[in-house]
Amino acid sequence: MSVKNGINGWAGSVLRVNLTTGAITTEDTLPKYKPYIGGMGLGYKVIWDEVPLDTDPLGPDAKVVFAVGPLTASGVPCSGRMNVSCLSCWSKGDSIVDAHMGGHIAHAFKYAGYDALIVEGQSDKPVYIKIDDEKVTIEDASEVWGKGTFETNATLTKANGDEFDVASIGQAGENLVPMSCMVTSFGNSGGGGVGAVLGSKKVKALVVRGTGAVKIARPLEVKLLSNYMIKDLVGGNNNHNVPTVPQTWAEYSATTKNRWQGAPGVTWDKAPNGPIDMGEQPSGVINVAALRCNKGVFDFGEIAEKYTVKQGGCSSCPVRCYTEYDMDPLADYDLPTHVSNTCIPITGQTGIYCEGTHDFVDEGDAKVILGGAGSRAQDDFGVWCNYGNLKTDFIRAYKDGILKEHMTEEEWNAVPWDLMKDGDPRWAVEFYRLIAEGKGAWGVIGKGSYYMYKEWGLDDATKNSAGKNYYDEVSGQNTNVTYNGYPKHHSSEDAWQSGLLYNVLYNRDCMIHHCTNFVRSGSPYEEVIKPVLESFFGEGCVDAPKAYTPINENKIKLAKWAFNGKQWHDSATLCNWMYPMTLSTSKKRGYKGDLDLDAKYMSAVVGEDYTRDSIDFDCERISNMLRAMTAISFKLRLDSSNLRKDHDAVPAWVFDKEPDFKAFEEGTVKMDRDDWEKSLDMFYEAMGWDKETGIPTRETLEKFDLGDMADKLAELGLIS
Amino acid sequence: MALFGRRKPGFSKEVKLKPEDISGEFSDRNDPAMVRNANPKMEKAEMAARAQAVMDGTAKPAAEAAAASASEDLAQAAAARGETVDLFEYLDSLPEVADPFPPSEPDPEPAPEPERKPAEMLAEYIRERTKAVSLTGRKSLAKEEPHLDEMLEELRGLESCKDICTVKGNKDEYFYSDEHMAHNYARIAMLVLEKDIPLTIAEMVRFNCKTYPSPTPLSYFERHPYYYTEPQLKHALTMLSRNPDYSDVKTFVTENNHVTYLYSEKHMSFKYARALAEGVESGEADG
Amino acid sequence: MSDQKRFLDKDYTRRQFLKLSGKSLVGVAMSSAMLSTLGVTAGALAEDQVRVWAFPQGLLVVNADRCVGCQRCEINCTLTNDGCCSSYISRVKVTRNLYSSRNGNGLYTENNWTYFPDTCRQCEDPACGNACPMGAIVAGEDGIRRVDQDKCVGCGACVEACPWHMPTVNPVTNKSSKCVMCGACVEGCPSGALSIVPWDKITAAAQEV
Repeated sequence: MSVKNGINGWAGSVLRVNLTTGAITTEDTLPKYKPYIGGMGLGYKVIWDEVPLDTDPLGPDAKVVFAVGPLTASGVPCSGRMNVSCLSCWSKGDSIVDAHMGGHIAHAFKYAGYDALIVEGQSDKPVYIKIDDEKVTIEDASEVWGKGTFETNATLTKANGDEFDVASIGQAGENLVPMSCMVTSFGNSGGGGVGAVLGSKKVKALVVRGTGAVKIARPLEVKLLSNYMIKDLVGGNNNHNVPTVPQTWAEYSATTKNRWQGAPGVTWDKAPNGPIDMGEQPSGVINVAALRCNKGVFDFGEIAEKYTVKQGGCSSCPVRCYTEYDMDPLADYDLPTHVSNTCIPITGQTGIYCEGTHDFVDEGDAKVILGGAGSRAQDDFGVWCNYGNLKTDFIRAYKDGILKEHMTEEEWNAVPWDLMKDGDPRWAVEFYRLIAEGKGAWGVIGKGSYYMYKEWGLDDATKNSAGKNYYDEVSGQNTNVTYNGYPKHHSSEDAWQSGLLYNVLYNRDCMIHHCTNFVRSGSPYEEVIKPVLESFFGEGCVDAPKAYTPINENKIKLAKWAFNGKQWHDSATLCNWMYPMTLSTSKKRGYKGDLDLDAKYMSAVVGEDYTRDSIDFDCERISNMLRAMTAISFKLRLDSSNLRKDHDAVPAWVFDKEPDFKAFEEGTVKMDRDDWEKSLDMFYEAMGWDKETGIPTRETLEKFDLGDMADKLAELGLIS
Repeated sequence: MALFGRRKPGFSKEVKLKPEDISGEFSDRNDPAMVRNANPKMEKAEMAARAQAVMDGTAKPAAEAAAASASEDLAQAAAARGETVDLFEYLDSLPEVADPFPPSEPDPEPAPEPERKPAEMLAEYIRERTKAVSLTGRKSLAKEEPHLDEMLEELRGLESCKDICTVKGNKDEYFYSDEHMAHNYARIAMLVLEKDIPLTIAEMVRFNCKTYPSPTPLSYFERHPYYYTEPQLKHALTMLSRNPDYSDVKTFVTENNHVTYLYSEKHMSFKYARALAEGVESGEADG
Repeated sequence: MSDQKRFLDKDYTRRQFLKLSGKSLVGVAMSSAMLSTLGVTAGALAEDQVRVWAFPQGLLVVNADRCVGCQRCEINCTLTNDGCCSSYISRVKVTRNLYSSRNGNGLYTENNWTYFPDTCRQCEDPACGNACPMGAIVAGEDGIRRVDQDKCVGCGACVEACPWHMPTVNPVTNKSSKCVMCGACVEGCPSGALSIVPWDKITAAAQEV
């Protein structure tokens, strides 16, 4: 562990477990991985060095890299994140992708003394990897193979000891369903198809205990910076810096909705000993920061209070975005009543009830109760919904008759459609069971949008009976942001061209919240958002809500900042939903945040001088690794030489939605095709990528010491 | 309303640690000033005996010892009867214990208070009321204080009272301290206090359109700190529609989920207001 | 009503509340002023969810219902007292209660959402101190009981003897440590599950009927 080996920040060891040979080895993290920081950067470096990009993602030569970074478990708030890198088994090009897991396991892993775990080879029987400080073993998982993640996590904790932290795959991963994830703590998951990759290696779980410590160069400075951040900078969930409803200390409030739902009269109704009123949470006070977020109220309205016990979440985070529910109406259906989630697994469930829903106990409570049932089931089976695409693909295929077309009569009749029609919470359980089993038509849906549309001709309006192109269709259900099989994640509807730019660049939904956090904060545009952002990025870098303007250089700067910034968060590791500290809750600060904070943390933890620029540089390296590896994958797997055309292409709905409006008219978020092409030109230029292909030039790659990637690109004829 | 969970700032003090406090006094490793017992030999022997007793299970741990005297414990006895005993009675019944801690730092002698001007006392009164989330109306002050105008004149000139601000309503003028209340909140507090619901709606709808910019869902006025009821809002909307002073305030209903919104056409077009509202109601902000 | 008017001075208040350190408060009724000063409900008291301990500077109140499992108490403790970040050697312990702790609470038990930090009980007759063969756990002039790092030999007797296993032997230094009442955990608690209510506030609440 780092305290033992005298290294600040990093744990110092990379663990390698080979399931084919049974070999368990370690190597030093530094100096090799220092330029890649940790987390995502470290993972990508390992995959680049060791896994040819045309490897079968579910084969024995594929590898999974679990990695944390120098800030993980360093005391820095919101550092309880673990990155998981592998090859995608579900998106176009099957290229490099990462998943992101919260809960408490990242801290346990770091305390155990590791910066990364490389899992390679394949086991022929179900196993779990047990990490007990320096004692690392491959254990028999036959008892839990076939079980859901909740039972697995509980069983393995009890079997190994109270302090062990567990992350496991569910039946979806075991059955190699690409739409699968790993689940830890209580509903914290890492998706991206990681479940199937681990399933192919017969790895059921990671079980970790760490009794060690992370060495910090200047620990009191970290504490003081943390206090400063929690008092003066951080807001509620998604770093929204003003409360939803007026509070006495606050000049502004959200008017409609935002993610700082805690307020006088908003209660944790099911707190064991009487409702706890969330009250006010003024700027400048640490001991109420955890009472700002009630994600349930954001998702469902007041009704969520009735079932809220408290808020939970990840290690070291004061925000607590996981609403922890006790939904007793579910007991009537013999379903578990304890549910916890923060995102689409709980918010998107009513959609799969294609024939409508009914109330349970209170008016309008279907979304909560069905959300709870669906969330618990989805997490238990270890299904990943691809940020909602799994659900909307099902909904559309059902409603368009496509699903029925692709099922035999027997298969169709075997589905408990009655449960769906009755709005029964058990439908959600059956739905995720069918997805997790991965058979027949359900198996096709479980392959993810890209392979599903391909197989069923849904990527071409002439090839299916509905006459639709599921990528291009203008419909509330279609949120595909590329033709690669993943949806938008806070794109142009939040942040004009900047949002769309960083949404197209990954091999999954982008996870970036840099812009949506200030856009949806509830802060006023003219008085706060515009001046603060322009002080960082220059005039014109932001647009007013739904009042967009043509692309300009400063919007490109904004996009680049957010893009590189995601690599930073997933390498450091820090939470993508909370960082960066762009705005602040403090009127005295003019609501301006501190974008140098991350560098201050790094300097205090590592004991070396980091600056925003030095961190940006390292992150841009990782951005270029992502890009180069994507280009190589596309060439090897699809014989494509042009990422601009074949990867970054944006579906029609983004430009064609809201037909009553013209682009750049007040009231619309639609984009303009010519303006978009110009945006790509300018962004590629800013990144040092070829204007025509969107592939990094040799000059750019060598600037970041990625000459070996340039060589490979040249070998493949992708660059000169 | 219960205050549980509603920790007002200043209500409980954070214990702030300065770095220089920590390394000296509180770190195990660095504290050289541990008190050694006056008779180390005897203490050591006693301790060894006690240690032995603990290890071979003959010593009662503190918890057990406490439990042993439970039958005499007033609280336990009350609980067993399904009753309670008052905290202070209970404290009186418990045996005295030694206070191991040194005497608290005596509170510093308060500096002899300079003769406080009436204006300063008024300011302090306004501050205390602001902390309790109350505005102070001029009329109510005037009833108590015949020299109010002079006091206010004086107050306005004092450096120490520059946090005292006013917000004018239709029925009165109100004072508050901006150290304990935001200006925009004071405005809302004034509107709520004056109970002119149509006016409140109009003012806030206009403010929200101009500032954020955002149309306002009608439900905004059902929440804290307004808490208007459905019948009140329904009546207010009727009043709004009839009063030419509010002719700029319009309502509409979102297409997908029929939620009522308001906007002011002085500050935004219907097309824009509707687009913003429908964005929110269609979940655009959610993902 | 009893003589709460005697509660005019901080040290008197502290001497009274010292009697309550670690005791169950089931069966005790408090005024609403006192309840709100401590930030707890009557229901929580009745369900034995609240324990208080007298610290030099105020009353430590642990309110289990408010614990959100963020582990920042452990982080603050170790950053302040150990110069590193750890869970295992923290003097306040919450991670071990998160999943399926020895008292049947935690995320993987029936009492899912019940988890909270264990704090040193500041026992009047300390099992840890009594068990230490080196006499290393003694109170300083300030009344705070600490593990003398020079005397400690890392035998772990204190850990075993403490019914709640609060002291921990640091695996790197091989020295034990226990709560030193520094208040760092309280300072960093974002939900008010741990709070220290200063004696003058308690005194003020005691005077309100």
